[in-house]
Amino acid sequence: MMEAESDIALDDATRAFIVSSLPKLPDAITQLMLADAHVRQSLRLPAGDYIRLFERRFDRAALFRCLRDIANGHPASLVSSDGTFSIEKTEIDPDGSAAIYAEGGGARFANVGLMSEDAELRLRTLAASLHNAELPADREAQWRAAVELGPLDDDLFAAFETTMEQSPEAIYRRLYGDASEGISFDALVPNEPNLFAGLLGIIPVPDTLGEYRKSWTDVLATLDSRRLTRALLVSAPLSALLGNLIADAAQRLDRDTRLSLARQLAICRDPFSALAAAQICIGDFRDADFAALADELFPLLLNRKESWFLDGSNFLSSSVILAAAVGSRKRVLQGWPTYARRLAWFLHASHLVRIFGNGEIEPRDLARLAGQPMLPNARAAELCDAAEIPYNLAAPFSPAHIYSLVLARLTQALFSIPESERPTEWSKSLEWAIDMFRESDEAIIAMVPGPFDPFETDWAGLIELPPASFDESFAQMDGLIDPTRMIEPPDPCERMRSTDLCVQAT
Amino acid sequence: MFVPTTQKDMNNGWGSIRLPNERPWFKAVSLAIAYAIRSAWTSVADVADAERAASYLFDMIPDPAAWSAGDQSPDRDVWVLDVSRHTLWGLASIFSVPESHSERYRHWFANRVGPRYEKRDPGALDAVARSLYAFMASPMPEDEDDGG
Repeated sequence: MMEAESDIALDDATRAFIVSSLPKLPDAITQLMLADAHVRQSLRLPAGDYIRLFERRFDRAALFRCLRDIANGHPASLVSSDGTFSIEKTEIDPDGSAAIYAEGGGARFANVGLMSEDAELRLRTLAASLHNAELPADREAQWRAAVELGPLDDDLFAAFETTMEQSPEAIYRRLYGDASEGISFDALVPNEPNLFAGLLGIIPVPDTLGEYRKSWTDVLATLDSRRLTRALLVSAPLSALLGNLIADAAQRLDRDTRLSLARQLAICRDPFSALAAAQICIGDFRDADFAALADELFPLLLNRKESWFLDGSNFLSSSVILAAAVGSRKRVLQGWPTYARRLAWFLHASHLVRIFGNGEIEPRDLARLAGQPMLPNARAAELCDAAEIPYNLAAPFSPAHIYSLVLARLTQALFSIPESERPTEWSKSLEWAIDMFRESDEAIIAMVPGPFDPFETDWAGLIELPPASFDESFAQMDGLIDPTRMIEPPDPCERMRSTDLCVQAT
Repeated sequence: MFVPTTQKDMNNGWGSIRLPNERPWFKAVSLAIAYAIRSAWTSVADVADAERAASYLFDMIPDPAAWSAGDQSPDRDVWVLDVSRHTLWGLASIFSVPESHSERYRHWFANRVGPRYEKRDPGALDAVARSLYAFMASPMPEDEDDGG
């Protein structure tokens, strides 16, 4: 970066001034400065490969040697690069993770058992790391073969860590960890296309939503039970799409695994994961355990004024705007089809609700600081797609739109049960919710297309009501909604605007 | 006197004619705000008040690219970079931030300043880091203050 400047021979006073000044400067600036080997050399800073622990610098190779000793049960020691600090105690857990302690603090390292000479410990560590099936089957087989062969050397260990850090779950764990020390809105939408590809589950992404749905179903049909469960956990918010994707795919799981999956989804904070759980339960409505879980989920999903749904939908609404605005600015998914980008923002937003929706971030704060200010950015980004899809994403994810979508998908799932067998309580509560929504000021939202509807293959588009038949058309809607609640008594100007009102054709 | 009141008037050259004369003024405004921010971080005793003042002022810094959008001068892009990077230099080189404010200042820079400048000018941080190192590595004059 700065060879010419850094070649300047520094006197001691200048060097001391720079070294004492660097900690006062912004991290982004000092990191760029110190990335240059010539600068480090001029400042006589150590040129090795270091890792920061306990607020000190440790040689990377020495740290790995220490971890290897811990894995093999040998006495382990580690001293900071300046020689003034050493660790006091080490331990290794049965799952292969190791901890080192010093000065009342500690640091934990996962997967250390993979460096052990003990084959049993290596395999146990690998099994613990792969428990959540975050690696594809072929990658898992490669690592299993490597671990069976012998202890991983430093490079392979680092490569394993890197591989494990690329799954969506690992990225969300990292975001959660980073957030505990403060995280910017910018960083909440990582510039990592792998994350979004992992959320959608298919690479490369097909051209249309119809093809994606088919490919997704086909890919899931090839997965074993562990990977299928994991894929459904990651992709659960796809319950927002037309069809019963999640519940249908879950039918391949055995009963207990399916129930466990539904229970895991039911405690997720994002509305569409809970909806996926409800859809699974509705598919197994004859089973008492599933029915009991559905009994718990229906009130949560149908009471939109209660805090569970209110906070979750507000959080999701702001998160979608944040993801679309920041992600579009970073051009993370440039070249992806429009539907895939929208799905990716939506899935990512749902996961943000999952990890931060339990009180870590206040939904109103997120709306005030991100949702409202970034809405114009999200809309501007969507305008780029307007030629293809004349319908923007940012607006259809308001809390009322989310509720409308939940009602529609829940109705669809419930009506898949023959009427004679349909649980009366569920039907009644759903009818009550629809009636309440219909009578609310936001009922018109039930009439507009959902955020993904324009991408459906049988999408009929929007039609404009001709002025002549406007009153007649609204009269026909009378049974569905009460338009007088949504539209002020027409004056000439309002009348002009009313003629532009569009409703879905189907 | 003819006063431009419509977009058409502006398009007819008013903005372009006036721009070159206003450049020094614009740059001075931008730098003045940056130096006011430096003053906030170094002089306001309460760290929360300092951050609030710095954020308030930071939002006031005008965007030279947007301001000169109608400028057809061949050196317009260079001028935009000059103003933008000088202002960033002012924000990134506050050596005399009190110890009590240091962490908040660096956090504020990482969350507000860095992302905005990276977005507008992807090479800005690198250029400022280079320039700042050159400044620090050059011999210090005896009667200079903290580098501001």
